[in-house]
Amino acid sequence: MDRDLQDLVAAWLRNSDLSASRRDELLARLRSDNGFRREFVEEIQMHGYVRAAQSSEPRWPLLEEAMGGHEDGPGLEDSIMARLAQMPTPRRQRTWNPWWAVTGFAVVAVGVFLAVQQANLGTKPAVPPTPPSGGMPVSPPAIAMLSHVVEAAWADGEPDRIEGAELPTGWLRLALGTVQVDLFSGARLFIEGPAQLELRSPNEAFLLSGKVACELNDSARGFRLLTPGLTVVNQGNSFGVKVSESGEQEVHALEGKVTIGRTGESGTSQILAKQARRLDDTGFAETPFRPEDFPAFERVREREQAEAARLLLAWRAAADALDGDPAVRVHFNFEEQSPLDATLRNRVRGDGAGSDGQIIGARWAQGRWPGKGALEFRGRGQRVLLRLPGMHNSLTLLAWVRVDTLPQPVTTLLATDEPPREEANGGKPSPADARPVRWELKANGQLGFNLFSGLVSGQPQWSALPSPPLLTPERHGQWLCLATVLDAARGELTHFINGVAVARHKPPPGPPLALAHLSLGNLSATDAEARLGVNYGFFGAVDEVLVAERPFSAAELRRYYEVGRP
Amino acid sequence: MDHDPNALRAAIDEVLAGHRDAFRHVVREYGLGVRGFIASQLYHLDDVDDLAQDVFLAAFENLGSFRKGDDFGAWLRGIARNKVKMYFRSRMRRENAMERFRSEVGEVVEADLERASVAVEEEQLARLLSCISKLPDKMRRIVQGGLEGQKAQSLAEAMESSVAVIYVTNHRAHKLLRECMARKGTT
Repeated sequence: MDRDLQDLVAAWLRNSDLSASRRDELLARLRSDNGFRREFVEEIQMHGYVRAAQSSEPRWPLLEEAMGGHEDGPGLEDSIMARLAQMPTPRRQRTWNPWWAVTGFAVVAVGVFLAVQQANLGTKPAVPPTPPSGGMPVSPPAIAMLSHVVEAAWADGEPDRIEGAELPTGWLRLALGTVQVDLFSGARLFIEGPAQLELRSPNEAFLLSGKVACELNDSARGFRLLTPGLTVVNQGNSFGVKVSESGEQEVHALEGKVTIGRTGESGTSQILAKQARRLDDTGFAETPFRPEDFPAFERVREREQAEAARLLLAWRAAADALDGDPAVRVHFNFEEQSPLDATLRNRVRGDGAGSDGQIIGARWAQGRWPGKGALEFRGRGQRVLLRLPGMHNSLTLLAWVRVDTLPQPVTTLLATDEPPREEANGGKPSPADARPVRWELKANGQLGFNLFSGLVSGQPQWSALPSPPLLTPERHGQWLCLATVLDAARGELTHFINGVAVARHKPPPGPPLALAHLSLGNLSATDAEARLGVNYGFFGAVDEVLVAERPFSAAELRRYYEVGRP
Repeated sequence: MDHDPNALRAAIDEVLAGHRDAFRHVVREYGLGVRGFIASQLYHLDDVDDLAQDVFLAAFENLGSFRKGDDFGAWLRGIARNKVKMYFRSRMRRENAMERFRSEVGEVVEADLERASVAVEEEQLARLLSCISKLPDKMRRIVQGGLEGQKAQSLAEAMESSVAVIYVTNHRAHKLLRECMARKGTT
């Protein structure tokens, strides 16, 4: 048996721990050696089948007993059937309508047409600035903010909402963890997973299952929380409601009085502070007051801080590991720096590494977690200047950014800031046969990578390779992981947002890239642009920047996003 | 997996018509396969059982979206993959580098595991226990004991052997089991 295989199986079965370098070795072999991967899969697959087959006799009766099934039943079946009894009968989805095919074809055809148009535009001057509202997807109006997310996972099929997201009306299905939702009426909900809650309006929510603590004040007076059986009306106090999977429903008056009623019936009653009621077939009955059953503001904060500390540590370990990657040339992690520092330290040292950054105007701020540094840019001249020697064919650009607003047609993330400008300004010719680049954001929410394609009448021309307009206003204020990968061997450029590939292009062939003089967060306007009031300044914060001269894989970027998401 | 498509189709139709008891057929037919698929990726057997139940509950809830003619086993494994991912995600944030490593390994082998699962027929799985009973004594003891956690060390001590030998023997036993399961007529 291969030693690598034995070590990997032992680690998989929690029989041994591995050093970081050994883990990397095994992962690398697993990725590159098909035979090794197949053999490992056969091993764990058989292991799984053996465990499942052998455990079915002794285990299912225990499980069944726990789930309240029949003693002589097969266990799994009965326990599942018992739980199915609580669920509505599934319905077949709508049948296939041939018109959908026609519509789908039309959409694809339009998409292909636009893609061809885009490709043709590739060598033409950059598209004219789009007005801020142009082409932007319309989102339903928000009625609440997802203010805090603690160790949460959303249920299958739910969007992966992150802290700071705006929430429209609709369902929140939380698989685990706790979230804080602040409705625009002033009502504050702490929801503990598993829970299913529908936000119906700023003044109303419906809890189908799970636990919710409502922290309310006078501004949220009149807010109603409904369940399948009861209605709780806010009178400026705090209460907790839970609906179990078996349908049991309870209300606990956490602070002050609470008014309750049966959903769909007239008449209400009041529960005094520190009392609780259970709803059963006969109506409301007293039940012990258990405030500890509900998520509380202090406990959520404590857990949030503990989680933030853990996440920061995990990210630090991953970020430190990147500094040892020989292809990484620039890594600003914004750590261990004083708020008075005017230099942004590049964590990568040695031959070929980029320089430290010279901070111009940008202010130090808090990054993704408490204790993590960031630089805040307010769009007016602020930037960080750096140099990166050498010629580059393949490239990975990655930045964790918080976009506060995109007020002008083009906002610079990172860009070459000299040769073409000198030429456009009638200055010296380009010192090297290399293409300047611009990594930027458009007002409509596109992430763009532009390659310099030459001068026409003294004006620089750019091949534009944008993503769809995904950085829409509802994502403003959130920490996002933006990455663009240029893979010279494949002749492919890919944009990633939060670890997901969102656009692919075939970049036009040409000389290597020029990154000798780079500007982060801004770009000097030409004289002509300055006269027109053009500004490229970034509004927001940046708390990590990485430039590598190899294409990172999609899996690497996804992992780095996962370990770095706040 | 080798299942009777007509019986499955009839069971699905009955469930969708409101006869939820017909879902027993689905659980009976696919229970072992789903548990085995999850058990190959998860350590705690309690968690395997919980996730397997969640998979079937999610399948019931979404049965209306299953398209007739598709591979039902693959559809169930798709649900199981999501459950396993969510499980890893919820733990990855709390746990150490080894947990994250296992999660990464799980991602890398995801496609191969799916391919390997498609290749195993239900009747082969049904033969597994019989095949285990036919293993030579030492191998059977190791396979039945399992190697998770500290079991490999305990087995090595009990059998006056080394952990490496236990792993190699288990590896050979798995090969014999695969061969045995592939032989029709084994009972």
